[in-house]
Amino acid sequence: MIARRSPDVVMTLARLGSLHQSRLSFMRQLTRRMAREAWTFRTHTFDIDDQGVGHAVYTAQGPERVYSLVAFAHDLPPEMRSDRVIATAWDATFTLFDGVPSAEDIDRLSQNIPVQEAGRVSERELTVSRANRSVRLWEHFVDALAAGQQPDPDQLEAVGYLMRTTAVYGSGKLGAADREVIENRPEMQAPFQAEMLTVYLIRWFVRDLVEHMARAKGGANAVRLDPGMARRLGIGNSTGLGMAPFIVNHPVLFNNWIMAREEAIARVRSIDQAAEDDVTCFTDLLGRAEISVAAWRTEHPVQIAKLNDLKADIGILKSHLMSVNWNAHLPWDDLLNWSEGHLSSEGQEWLASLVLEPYGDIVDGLCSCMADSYSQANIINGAMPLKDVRELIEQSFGWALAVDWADPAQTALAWYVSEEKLEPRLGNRFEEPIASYEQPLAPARDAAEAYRKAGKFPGDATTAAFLEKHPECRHTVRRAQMARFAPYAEIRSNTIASDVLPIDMLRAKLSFFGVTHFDPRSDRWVRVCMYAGAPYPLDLSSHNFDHWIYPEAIQ
Amino acid sequence: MTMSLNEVDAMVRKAARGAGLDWGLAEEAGRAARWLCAQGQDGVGAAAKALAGPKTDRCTVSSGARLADCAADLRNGPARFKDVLTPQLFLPFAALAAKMLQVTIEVDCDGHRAMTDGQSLTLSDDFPDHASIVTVRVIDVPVGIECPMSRAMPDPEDWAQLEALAKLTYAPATDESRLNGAGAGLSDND
Repeated sequence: MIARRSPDVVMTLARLGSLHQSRLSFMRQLTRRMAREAWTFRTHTFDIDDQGVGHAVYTAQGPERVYSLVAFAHDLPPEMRSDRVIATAWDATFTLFDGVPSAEDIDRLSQNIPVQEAGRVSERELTVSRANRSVRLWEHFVDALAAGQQPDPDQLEAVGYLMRTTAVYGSGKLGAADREVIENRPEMQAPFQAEMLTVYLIRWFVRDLVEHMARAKGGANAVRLDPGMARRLGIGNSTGLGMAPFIVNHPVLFNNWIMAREEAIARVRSIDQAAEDDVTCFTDLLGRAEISVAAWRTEHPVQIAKLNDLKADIGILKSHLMSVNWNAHLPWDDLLNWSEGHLSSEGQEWLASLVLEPYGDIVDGLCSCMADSYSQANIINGAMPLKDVRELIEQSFGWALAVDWADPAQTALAWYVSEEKLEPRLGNRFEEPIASYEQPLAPARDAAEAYRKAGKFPGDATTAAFLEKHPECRHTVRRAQMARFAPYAEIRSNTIASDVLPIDMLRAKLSFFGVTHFDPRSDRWVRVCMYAGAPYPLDLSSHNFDHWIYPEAIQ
Repeated sequence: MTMSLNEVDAMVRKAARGAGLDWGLAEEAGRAARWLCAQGQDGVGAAAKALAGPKTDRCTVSSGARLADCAADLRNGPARFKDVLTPQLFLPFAALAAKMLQVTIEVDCDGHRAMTDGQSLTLSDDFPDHASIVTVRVIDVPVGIECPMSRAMPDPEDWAQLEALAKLTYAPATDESRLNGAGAGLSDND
């Protein structure tokens, strides 16, 4: 068996910021399950007026339970349209309801969902979400369809979606059901399934809404959106800095995601002989994945350079593949070893995700290992000898022990939460009055500090004795002890250095959701696309549930 | 109004930090309050009382953490703590010790008793708000299985007190922070 890659390789921010979706992604887990279990979908209510104001309810019926998307459509003045968490109004707002809502539920939700953070929801609600229109694409679609025309495919491709979500809250936020309430349901066991279902149903609603608005404008002249064009529409997502701390604050969960993907890669690397069908599947999907890369648009200089690297990598890879001997032993291991010497990080990770595709039988079982169900992970073992804690810190943060933490460039930034709507922000420690509000999001600096303090204790001291004297090291010791079973829990880069790119943290998380087309708007803000190419709920079947993320060539 | 347990955890963690506890202890405080609420106890009220007290090593959260850290010592005999404010908040830490040792642990507050095996809790109705002597020991008695609660119903005044403490962890907005801190700045009207 070929070993998993070392955390030293995988867990740097540069590498995490190059990750791509794979078969393990949460969106693809959801569509696979719903297709296999033959879920049924229904438009329960569509009560929206000609101004685009009203509500709609869509239901998703699984083997044991039914979930409903409750959507509220609003008429938003342009000056109020903001993707930031400080916004107070949106083009549309949503909740995923556990069951089918009654008229009383709709009445209650209509007073709370449209105001998002200013409202309250109950244990019957699993998520709370909102979305804004892509103004130019929305207007183009409504105008074209109202005039009896199909929209311009080039404009569709330039944006990719009609609406983008700006938050999808779950896990007890705003009073919604805690994760514990749903985690034992098979369909909710994998991470973020309620959130992914919410967005999947939102995409359906948005298609209905744009056709409705075109009919309201064009009357009898209006036409429906061509199904092929509808399918290429995704749902955008606009994600800011607020998501970045998640992967630091959930070390075991994040470890489980990375470890599942690394285990999948190691399993495929260990395949002795590649069957012809598997090679065909791989090369076919490689061609389709290349179409997706060609459609990837960004204006951000860092991502432009990475995208150019990736396009060059694909050329190099394709010419290499012409000379690969697929009958050799361990062909996938050979290919990935070759990639490490010839492709950029973007290209290596793109390829690593792609080689998993033919092997659902040995990869997909890992999906059930991606949740964090180990409730004892947070308990500190006070009896552990302190020298073992120091060794664990060396394992995860050996690189950080060599950093000069007195150099202001290494601690230039501080993460904090603003009073304004509790928005997470990043500021300059030495220029803004924020240091005393710093959040514990610099594990590497704190580990180096704890390591130094622990070094002054006697060799046979216990963790408990150390923590009694140094309670300020408690969060660090907790994380260090997690490394015993979570080797991929810690980012191996400095999260407060002057040159840190928070978009790398955002991308690491979003790649596991299964998004594509990362388009940074700054070093701490990114737009992405979800579900582009996916069959709509009523079309989801055993023929199209798996590889929809790879576009087919347009005939 | 009911709160999710995640909201309780997050609020108590922030309030504990706002009250001056180190981050690692603030995390313990949040989880402790959450655990009490899941047992049907007033975890928010216990946290509000404890955080109103002194933030020294006599703070209930610090003592509780020490109890859990030294759980292995309970095998050799009971642990004693003097003059404990809000001993209810001690119980989640006793539960951590019980989980680690896989035993039942009794917490005796001047004769008023509570028992936990880590999952469930039984305690006397007159469990006090203050104890001169708290004795924690391993006992050989099984604890009945309780159905965990999934919501908390905190007293609004306790919640407001925690909110006031949590607010101390939020940085006042400046123009620079408003403009650059979240990193957007581009128009979303495109």
